[in-house]
Amino acid sequence: MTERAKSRLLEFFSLRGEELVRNQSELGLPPPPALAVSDGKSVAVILHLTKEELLNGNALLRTVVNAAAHRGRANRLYIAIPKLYAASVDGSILQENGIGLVVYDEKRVFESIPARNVELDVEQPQGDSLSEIRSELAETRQEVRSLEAALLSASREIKDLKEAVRDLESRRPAKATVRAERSRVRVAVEVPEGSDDESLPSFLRGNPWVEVLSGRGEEE
Amino acid sequence: MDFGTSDYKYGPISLGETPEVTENRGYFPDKRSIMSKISGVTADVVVGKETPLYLEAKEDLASRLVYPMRNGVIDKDDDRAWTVVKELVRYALRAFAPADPKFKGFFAVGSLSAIVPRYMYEKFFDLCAEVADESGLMTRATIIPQPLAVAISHKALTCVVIESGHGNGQIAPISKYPIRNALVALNRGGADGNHIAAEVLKDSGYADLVGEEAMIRRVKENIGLVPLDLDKAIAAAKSDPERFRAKYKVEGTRVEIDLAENSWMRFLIGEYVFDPNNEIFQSYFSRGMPKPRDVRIGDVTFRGMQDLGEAIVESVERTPVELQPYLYRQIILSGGNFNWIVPKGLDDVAVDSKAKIRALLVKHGIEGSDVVMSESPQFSVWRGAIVYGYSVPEDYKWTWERMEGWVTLGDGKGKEQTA
Repeated sequence: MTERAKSRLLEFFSLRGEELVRNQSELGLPPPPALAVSDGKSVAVILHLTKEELLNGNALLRTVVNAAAHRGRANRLYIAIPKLYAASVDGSILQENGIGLVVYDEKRVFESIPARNVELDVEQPQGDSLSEIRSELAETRQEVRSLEAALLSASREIKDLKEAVRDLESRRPAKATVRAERSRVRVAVEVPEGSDDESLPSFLRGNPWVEVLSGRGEEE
Repeated sequence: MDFGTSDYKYGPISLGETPEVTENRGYFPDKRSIMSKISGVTADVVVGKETPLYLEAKEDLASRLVYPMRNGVIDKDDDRAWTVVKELVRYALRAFAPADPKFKGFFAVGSLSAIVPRYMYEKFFDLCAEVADESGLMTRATIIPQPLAVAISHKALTCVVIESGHGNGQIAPISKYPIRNALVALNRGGADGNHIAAEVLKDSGYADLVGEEAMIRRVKENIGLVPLDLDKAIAAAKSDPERFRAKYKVEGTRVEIDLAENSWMRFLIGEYVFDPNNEIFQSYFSRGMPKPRDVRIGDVTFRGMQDLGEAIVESVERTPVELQPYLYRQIILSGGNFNWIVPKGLDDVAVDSKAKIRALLVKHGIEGSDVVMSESPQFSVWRGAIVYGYSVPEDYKWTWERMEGWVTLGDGKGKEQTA
């Protein structure tokens, strides 16, 4: 999976309140390049299919079987593919297995087939012994105390600053002169990268016609 | 879906670099025959890769095997040809129909010759609507001219595309849109190269071989050469016949062709395709070789004798003067009629198509053109059609004024598959 595809998928799940699970391997979830996201209550695993896997029926089947093997560790399973290969995926197989399909292209990411949410009967990722929990609790208390101290220190500084401002205002002349200056602001514009995605066929990559044809109808 | 003269290239974007290919033809089996009854043939027409399995060894085979796009244009009332086109559309959709019951249908892009009349667009959309209604496998359809597809696949926004096929050729300037009023059509193509190759064979004592078109085409491809300058090439070949000797053994047969002292004639074959105006061709016309004539099909006049350089200049000069230098800058040659060999040791007189076009343009006062061959002539139209379908917004409706956009089939929402 390209970094661009990965960030687009993570952004999509982030908008739904689901963030990347960083220690997915430790939690028994499939390792990267699979992605695991969680909203704090449930975990979803996203498996990305390459073009070769999509065009090879056996490889596709293997991926679906592998995905099913992770059923016990994730509440939802998704397969992510570029939109241009969507037509080659038999959605009924995924639906029967409760596996979702996420499709993406240059412009958007969408959930083509929703994943079935499965309640898990698995150990929770907090740890597996009381002593570990106590130790984590002690560490948390310590962190809270240090945060309280930092907050107190910050409040004192704000109070000092307010007094300094008040002192300066009392010394300012009654009539102040304000001079406006024209300034030039450089605005950073994000330029779309076009169709440079390596998963696209060579005749689509960097083809200026994609932009020209995408604008057809807008000029009317 | 690229409806070429001989081959039909089809398939969805997910195929990647190359489409599926089958012959652009359909076979109408004799359903009264005993063999058809035994084998249970029920279809009116058979298309696709299994067509040879249905062919019968009958004298009327030729009339039952229909190549709908032989000249790029189908007559309005040629029902059998339209039946074949409809079956080919259906065949392509079925080949890639997903099993997903929620599949709503393909967006189909058909690519036809740039010179086809409006009724062909209407007939094509009508048959797409029928196929969509029957199968639910298509929700939108559109048509793009083949030269535009070639320009798109070559990532060239401003260029001239020259497409030379079996029966005719098209010179199409493109500048983000095809410039339709600048289109020049030629009534000359690979078939005319075959005619002069047949005359060369007759003159060299191989009259018995000229009855087979496939044989003549092989001779043309293996012996024919394109001269940079015909008169100089003939003079060079006549002064040193052994150096230019044309010999060709037909693989798998005992047939061997040797033009011997007539080997200078191999230059006539290539020259004729690019420029049939040399005085030497008059003797062939007077002996009965068909002369390419001007013909009118629909709204377009197809020139018979115009040389390719003059045709390009005429086409470009129909565009705004400001645009002309940009069009001359990139010229793309597409189609099997531009594949010519340049044997080692003969490259001082024989040239490839790019060099010949450059020379013809110089003759007409245009220098510095970048002439390129289509990188993948067989697939470039299909690739352009894929880019077009991928890019054009789905809510952009077809307009006859611009001849582009999507035609909505049915209610445009498709229908869920029942199986």
